[in-house]
Amino acid sequence: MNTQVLELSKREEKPKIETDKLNAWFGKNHVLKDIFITIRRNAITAIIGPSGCGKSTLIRCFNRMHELVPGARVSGTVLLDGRNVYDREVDPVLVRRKVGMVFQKPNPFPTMSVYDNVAAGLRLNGVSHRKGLDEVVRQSLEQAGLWDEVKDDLDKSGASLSGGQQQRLCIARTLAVQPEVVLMDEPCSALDPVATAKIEQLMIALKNRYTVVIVTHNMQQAARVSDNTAFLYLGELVEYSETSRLFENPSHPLTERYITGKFG
Amino acid sequence: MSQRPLDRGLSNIAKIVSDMADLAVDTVKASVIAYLEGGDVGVQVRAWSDCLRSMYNDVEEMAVELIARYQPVATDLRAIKSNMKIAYDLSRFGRYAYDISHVLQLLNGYSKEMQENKFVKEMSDKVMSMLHLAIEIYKTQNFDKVDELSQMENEVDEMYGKHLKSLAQSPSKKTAVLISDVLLTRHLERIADHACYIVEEAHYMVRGRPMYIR
Repeated sequence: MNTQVLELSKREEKPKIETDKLNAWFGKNHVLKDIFITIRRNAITAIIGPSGCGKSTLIRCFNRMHELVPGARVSGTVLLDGRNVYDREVDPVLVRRKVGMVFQKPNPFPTMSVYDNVAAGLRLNGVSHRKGLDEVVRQSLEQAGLWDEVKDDLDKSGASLSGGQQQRLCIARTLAVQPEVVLMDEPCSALDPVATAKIEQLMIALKNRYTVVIVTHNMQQAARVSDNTAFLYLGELVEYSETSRLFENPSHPLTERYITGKFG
Repeated sequence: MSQRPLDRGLSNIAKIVSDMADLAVDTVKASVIAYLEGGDVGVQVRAWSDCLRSMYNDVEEMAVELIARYQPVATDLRAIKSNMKIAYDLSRFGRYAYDISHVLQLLNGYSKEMQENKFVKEMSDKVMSMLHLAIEIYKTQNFDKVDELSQMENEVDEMYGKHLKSLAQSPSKKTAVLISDVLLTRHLERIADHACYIVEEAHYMVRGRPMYIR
């Protein structure tokens, strides 16, 4: 690990997430190698790197989704507010409620209405009274910047919305269960520039209430929205620093070559 | 790896800035020699100065286009930013050179007293050396001689200050010569400053962190 990674990691006194010697495997394939990273609370952290470098695996380790893949395993620690999410007594379902995830492709439940898509997580958690659901659905859609566009069509199918609206619906669904961290795995890769701009504005608004971690292949997106950026290569954390610094004067030659498109 | 589309644009900008550097040195040199030794270079210096300004505009336009098309980062972005600023500094050399030649025109041309002014000759030699050194550092991107440049900059500043004081305390010269002396040394002092800016920008471009010479 280079000194800059250490510098940024030490600066945060009470990080939202902190990993130590985090390793992850798919079968024999060692995809994350001794990752030490701290995620600042109420900030946007971008994870960048070439395909297969372990970006998605890293954030899936944050909420124990990695272990859902057959043959996948993890070693090391992931502290969420100082508590290791991999401790035996920790319920992974609770971890995933606290650390929600938005995926690359908008994936609303196709047979459900807009309303039911947002309420689904709450219902699974035992909330059933209509008034309470109404309030949370509205709040979640407002936070996701979608309420004004769908308030008169809450009974319509979620699948009838545009791609950008579907992604914001998925964000609303994630927010409905009141997470503390929102992980976004290439949330704009399937969206047009207008929808992308809306999601980016949303991310910036969300960081006031949540800690946001975004995986992106779009360097300009990382530069536009994130406060800190981590560069991963072949499963190792090569550089982690403030976004402005990383994109203006990266300290590691590999980072320089990757972000300027000189790889290969 | 094949050349990126951005690389061609960066090369074009670097080529123009390099050409500007050569032209800027010639322009300043022509105006200073005419001041010290006589010669009518007003039209030529004006043309070169306009050319430097036009080249600066070209660099600026190309830089903005590269940013818009390729959203460069890291060394690429720094190269664009620094070359834009260096091109501006070089265009200022043209402007100061023109101003020096204009002084001669305004004050009815070259006079014997100007030629006899050893101080002005010494200061202009120093500034020309700074100019050559700054361009050398920019082109070679070797910063070993930065201390030398810094030392020369301090000397020029000191010379300028002393000269102003001495003129104020014992204005023994004709008014026209005195005014032209003040203006020339002021322009030379500004040229020396811009020579330092060029090296500061070149340092930022290459090393990614600021360096202040003055």
